[in-house]
Amino acid sequence: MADNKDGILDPHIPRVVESQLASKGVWLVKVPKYLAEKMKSASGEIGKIKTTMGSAGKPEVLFCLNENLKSSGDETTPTTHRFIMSAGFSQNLTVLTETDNGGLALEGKVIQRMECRPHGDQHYMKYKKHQVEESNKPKRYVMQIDKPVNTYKPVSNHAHLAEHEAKKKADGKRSRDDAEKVKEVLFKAFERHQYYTLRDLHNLTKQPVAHLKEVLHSICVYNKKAPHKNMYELKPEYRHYGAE
Amino acid sequence: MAAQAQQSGATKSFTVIAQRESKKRVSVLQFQNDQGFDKSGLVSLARENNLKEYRSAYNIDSMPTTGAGSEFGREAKEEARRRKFGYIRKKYNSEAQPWLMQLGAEKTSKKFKGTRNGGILENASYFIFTKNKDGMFEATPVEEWYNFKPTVSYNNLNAEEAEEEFARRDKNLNMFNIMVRKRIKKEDEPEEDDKGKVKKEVKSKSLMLTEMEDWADLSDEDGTAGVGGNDSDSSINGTKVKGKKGKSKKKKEKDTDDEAVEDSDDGDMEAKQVDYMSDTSNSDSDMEGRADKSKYEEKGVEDEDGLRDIVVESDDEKDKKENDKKEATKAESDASSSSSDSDSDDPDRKDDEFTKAFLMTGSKKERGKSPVPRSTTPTTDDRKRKLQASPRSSSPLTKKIKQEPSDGKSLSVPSADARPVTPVSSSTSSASKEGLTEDAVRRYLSRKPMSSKDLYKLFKSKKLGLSNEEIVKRITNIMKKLSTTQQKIGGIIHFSLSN
Repeated sequence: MADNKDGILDPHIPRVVESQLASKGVWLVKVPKYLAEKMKSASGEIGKIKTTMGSAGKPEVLFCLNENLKSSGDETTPTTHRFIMSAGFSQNLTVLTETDNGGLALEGKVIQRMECRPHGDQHYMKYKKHQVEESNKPKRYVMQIDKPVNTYKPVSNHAHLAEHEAKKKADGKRSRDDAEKVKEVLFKAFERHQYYTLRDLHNLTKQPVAHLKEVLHSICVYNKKAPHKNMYELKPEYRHYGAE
Repeated sequence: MAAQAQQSGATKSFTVIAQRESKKRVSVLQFQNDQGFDKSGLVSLARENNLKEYRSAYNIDSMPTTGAGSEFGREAKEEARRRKFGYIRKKYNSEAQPWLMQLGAEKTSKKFKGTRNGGILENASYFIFTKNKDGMFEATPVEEWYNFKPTVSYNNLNAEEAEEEFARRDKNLNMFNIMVRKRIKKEDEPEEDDKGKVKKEVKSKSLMLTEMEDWADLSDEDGTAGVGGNDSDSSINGTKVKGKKGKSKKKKEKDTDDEAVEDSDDGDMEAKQVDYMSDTSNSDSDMEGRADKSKYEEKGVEDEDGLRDIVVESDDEKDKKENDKKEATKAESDASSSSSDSDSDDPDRKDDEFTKAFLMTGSKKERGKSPVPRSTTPTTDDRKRKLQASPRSSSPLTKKIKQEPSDGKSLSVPSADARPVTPVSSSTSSASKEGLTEDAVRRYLSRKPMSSKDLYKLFKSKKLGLSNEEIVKRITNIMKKLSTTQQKIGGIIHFSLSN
């Protein structure tokens, strides 16, 4: 597989797709939103499909939503839907599945595209009415409160700041290390990048700024001008890469 | 949950379950109808790498992240700086890039690019219903929809290339002309020495490549001969040799201009073309010049045709013009440093020109005016005659023939019995193609004598889907095969079956 060394998959590297099931026939069904939500949230059995040969030789497909799914919310959700087949379906649709670990597989070819439609009966009209009423309800409305509203004063000493302070205290004052030791750390840092700000070096070496500056003065150049303003780089004699 | 595929009468019932592996993401790939997967092909998918485009779109300078020239923590700092100003950059999401699909092995693979179709899933939700082994339906929501299209396997033209092609847009490929040119070139090659300095001079002056050499050659001859006025001539003119002569001709032309416009005589048309072409030859762009010429070539045909349609003039008028023109052309030939063939303009020559024009190069009209039957002029080697410079025999007519498509070296102008012996073009046109057949022509001719113009019109009106040149060529070939007799009716040569 196309895993890189971190175990994270690089999607730009071609992956072989399993295609044994590529020619397996599947249905593609367009589902109304309310039904889709129910189906997505459900696990296990969703409902039943009933196929009947119609009078005109056309198969009729009925989909009945599971009762317990229906009762989860309101009572009026339509349960029985027809699957209406699109006549003369000739699109070339293939189903691809992707697992979390990056496995790709073709899992079928759409042989029938259908539309799931509720029966347009009284029950459905009731549901629609309910839905319209729901959606027309204003989001904000006036209401009377019986308790005074709690307001809070702003604080400057937040919890996470306190944590940071504590950590700082634990570290204690930065003590001056031997100049050679500091230099070693600096050289190591400058191997990775050419330019550092004083602040970064201060964090890296954990030295007092004055001491660090002393050391830096001996081995580094301070850039005062534009492209790498306010940054240190090694003096030319210390550089391991060629001059630019 | 057992399979509940119970059969009760005609009704079957299946249980629908939610997708078991909820971690699977399902997407639908839509292909064009004739494309898609073969049964047993290796399929590989990858996301397109658009990191570069992303970086350039968001103005992320591509400084080295490590080593020489790199700054410590640059990107993080930049990001922090931007955040401070309330600007949050979208992160590059490699999962949101288009799919690149490769079908089949390396060499014979087909490649597709699948772009996300966002609109289709925005207001509708789709489910895939799959029947599993237990006879139950598994319903899986579709999360993405990709439209796959084959990737283009050609490179787009850059600005210069496009310009070049654009300049060529009006160039009409005329196979007939191409073949003629080819043959002329072949003929010319061995006889280069005979031609001598004139041609070389032209070459050196014009600095043009293959085709242009041909043109130059031809135009030179034309100029000296002083015959023009049909399409082949128009295409031929336009080298620098000509251009020099342009001005003097222009003056001459102005003297006779009114008549000349009306009348489609040989000389005046030519003079016009010279004027025009001299302009283009001054323009330095070779390509442009060529395009113009090809454009002009076609126009020339039509213009002249049009003129011929409109204008029918009496013979005496014509004679007058003839004289004018003679003067002009004489002056020309004097002026030109090229081989001096004096031109003898006689009315029948002009007539020949037209016949020729029709029979060979595809100017569709024919206007025989001369009552005098032409004398046979064997033109097997007109170049020799040119060297001899006998004014009479090296009439421009013979010159013309040389340019025309000819089968081999034995050429003959219309003979005494006025039967046109026309050259056969080597491009074997299937004369037996729909409609325009030998039989058809025979049928027409057996009814009544017809001029070639009439024939042309007849076949044109049938809408055979042939180009004008094509029709003329076909007719020419057929006429050659048939044994026809010519007779003048109303000053126009009419053909009829001789037997």
